[in-house]
Amino acid sequence: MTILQVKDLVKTYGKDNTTVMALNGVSFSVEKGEFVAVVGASGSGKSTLMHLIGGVDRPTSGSVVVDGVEIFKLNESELAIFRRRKIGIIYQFYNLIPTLTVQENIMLSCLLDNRKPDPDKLRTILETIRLTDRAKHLPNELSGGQQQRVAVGRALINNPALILADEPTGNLDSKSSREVIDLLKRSNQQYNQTLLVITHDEKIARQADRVITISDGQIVRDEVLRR
Amino acid sequence: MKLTAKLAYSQIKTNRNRAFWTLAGIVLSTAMLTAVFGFASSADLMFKELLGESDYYNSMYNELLLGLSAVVGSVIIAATVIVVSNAFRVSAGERIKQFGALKSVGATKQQIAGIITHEGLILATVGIPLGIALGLLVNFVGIQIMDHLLAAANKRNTFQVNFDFVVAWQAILVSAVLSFVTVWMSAWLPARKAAKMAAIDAIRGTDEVKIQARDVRGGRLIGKLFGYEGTLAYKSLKRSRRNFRATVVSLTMSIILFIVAGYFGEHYKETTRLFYPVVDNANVVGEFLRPEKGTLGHDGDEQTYHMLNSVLADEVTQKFREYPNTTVFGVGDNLRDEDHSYKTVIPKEMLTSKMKEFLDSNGGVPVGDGYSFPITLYAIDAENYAELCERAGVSPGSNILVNYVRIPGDNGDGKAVFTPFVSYPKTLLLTNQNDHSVVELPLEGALDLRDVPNEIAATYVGNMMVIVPRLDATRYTWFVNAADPEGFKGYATKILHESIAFEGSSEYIDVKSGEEVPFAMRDITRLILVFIYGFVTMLTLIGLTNVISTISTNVLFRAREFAALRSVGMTPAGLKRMLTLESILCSVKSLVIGVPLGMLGSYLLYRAFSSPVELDFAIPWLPIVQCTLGVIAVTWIIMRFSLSRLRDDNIVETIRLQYR
Repeated sequence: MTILQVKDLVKTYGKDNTTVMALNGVSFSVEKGEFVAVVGASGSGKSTLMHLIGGVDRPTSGSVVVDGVEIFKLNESELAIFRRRKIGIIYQFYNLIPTLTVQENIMLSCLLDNRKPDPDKLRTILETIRLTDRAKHLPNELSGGQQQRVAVGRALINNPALILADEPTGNLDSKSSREVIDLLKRSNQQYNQTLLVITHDEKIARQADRVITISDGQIVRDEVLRR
Repeated sequence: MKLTAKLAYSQIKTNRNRAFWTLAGIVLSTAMLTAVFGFASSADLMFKELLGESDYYNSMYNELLLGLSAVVGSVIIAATVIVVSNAFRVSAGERIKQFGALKSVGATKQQIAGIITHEGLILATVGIPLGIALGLLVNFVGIQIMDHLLAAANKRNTFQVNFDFVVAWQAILVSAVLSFVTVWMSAWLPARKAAKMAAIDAIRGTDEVKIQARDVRGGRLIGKLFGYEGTLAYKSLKRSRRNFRATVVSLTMSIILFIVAGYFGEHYKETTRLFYPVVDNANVVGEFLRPEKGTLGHDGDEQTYHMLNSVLADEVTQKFREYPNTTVFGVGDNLRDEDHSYKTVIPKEMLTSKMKEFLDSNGGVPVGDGYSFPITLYAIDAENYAELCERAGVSPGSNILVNYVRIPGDNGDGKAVFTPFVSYPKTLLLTNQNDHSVVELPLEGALDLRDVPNEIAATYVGNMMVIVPRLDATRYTWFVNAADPEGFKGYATKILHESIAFEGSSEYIDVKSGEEVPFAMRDITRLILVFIYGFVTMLTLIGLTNVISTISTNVLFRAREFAALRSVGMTPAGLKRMLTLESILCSVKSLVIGVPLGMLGSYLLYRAFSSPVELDFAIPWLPIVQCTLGVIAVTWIIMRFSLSRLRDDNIVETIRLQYR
């Protein structure tokens, strides 16, 4: 089952002679349960690609279909609600809400939907990210690795169709990096969670099922490592 | 340029928005100080001209003016320190990391503090001269307004009161120095704090105040009411409590001042309205009044005086109205000297306890089970009478009690009590003091004194009043507003002499210009109100600069948080709702503190001020409602405005920008 379909995606920044082409006709698709790594040098366009797939930015042309929905046909509010329910995003700098506790940050997308998250699910996630004893703490009381685990938990809570992670270990030491990647892999294996991870870390890329290499806004290699 | 100055300058340039509003605060407060001292100088000059430079003057008015300027000046300085100091504190907080970096390469405490105080120095250098210019302008305009208001009073008074615009260099110097010290202090407080911070804490960029879980607990009720956005709004307000404190203080201060000033204004107007009712718009006054022949009260004289029947008065009124562009209000009464007046007895149960207390202590005359009240009957022209009947809800031809009685204090110079009766009788028995004949007067309706036109109230002397359809009036007054007053005066004189004809009737008739009407309190009232509202407006403006700068800076600096919320799926509408709720919560907090304090302040003012009229304390609802709506509208508009500027950049841009 195809969960993500990207077609002829083009994104340019600036106007006239200062135009920068960040993405130049990118097309690919991802099956449910796949763990895909997107690699490339900095400035190659991989973050732009992720922002477009996550629906936080709009393309110059082309389409993105997530779980059967063409996301750029949605208006701002519909897109926000779609993100809330179908996509989990993990950033390099965690982007947790400083006034909310660990638990509240994890439940944020449910809370925004004004529904109570399943307590069992919450407990499982807290155990998975090994922060049960820190559930009532605020982000500034946690280490970087712990904060990123909260961000992973926040992405997992809704069983989204797709988890997008932009350099999730870019700001972490090697031990914390390993923990976060293990966590992501476990969600992939246990819950058949689809993962799209942007990284320039070779070690992480090698653990994926498939590696897409981007250069100058185009896919230059699409390599399947395992099935 | 010194490095510290350069860094300070770059900070002003980076955050132009806040720098602008801080500057506005400095300009406004300098302007206010300059204006206040300027007014004091003008008043000083006025008193010197009026009273001459004597010991009496020096000991009394000089001190009074100095004292008043000192009090008002302190309020302004306090407001400025709160506002400007907060701006610098936030500005320093933003650069904690920069300070850390500077410290790690060897910047001393003094240098760090210097950056912030330099920022203050730059703003003061620009703001104070602008403020002095603005202050002189305000001063000049204010003096023109005062002289304009006083011009009318001067025409009627034997002495002349005039204010002159003076540029007193002492006043300017004092306000410049005071403003500078204020700004310096405001910058120095946060500078010292930033300088003391350990380098490592600064580099780590640990929050200025570390948030604790208990700081942001709660908000569940708000969440239930407004959805999760409500909870988030509540939490972020609690987190940035310190930043918002100055906003809440500024808003609260404005609310208190507004309510107290509003109360004072209303109270003052009400007092003068009751005590000195004045017909504002009459420029010609026609009178039928018995001439002062010998002493009143001699039995024989009273009988020989002529009266004017209200039917004839109505004919005159009709003829007056035929003159183009003229409005006429005719009112007559049967006021007589003490020995020939009418009195009535009001039973005790119809009197309020305050009335009884007053009557007992001020020589009220108890008669049987009640008190004796002097009473005067009034007749007004047919047209206005019909309107009053409608207002009172009675049919034409009814007698209407003006249900508001003034009981004068001792010898007429103590306080007077103005209150409506608990209830009023269906019929009054009027006893003529001369022959003890009794007249029965049925009452069909009643009107509050405040619902009765000033034309009636202006002629009243403090007796009970009943408006009757027809009357033989001992005096009758026509208040006229004519487009051509001079022409009308001639016309009215002719009409009056033609219509009222008996032997010696011309002695009863007089037509004069409205300006000859005795000294009007309203000019003074207006003058006082202009001053109070001017002061409150200026202080509110200073507070407002702070509110604007805090809210808009707060929104800008949370861009990344907003982006994160958006990326986990908060809708634009949700974000808007969250921020709207934040501004409303902020206003509500100020109102919850400010409104009761404003009421308390009004009450204290009520207790402290001795007015010639004893009124019950009335909660100033109108100013409360006005400032509630005003405060919510102001914060909401500012929040919306800040948000509209934020929406231009999308989520990605914001997140990317913050990565740097």
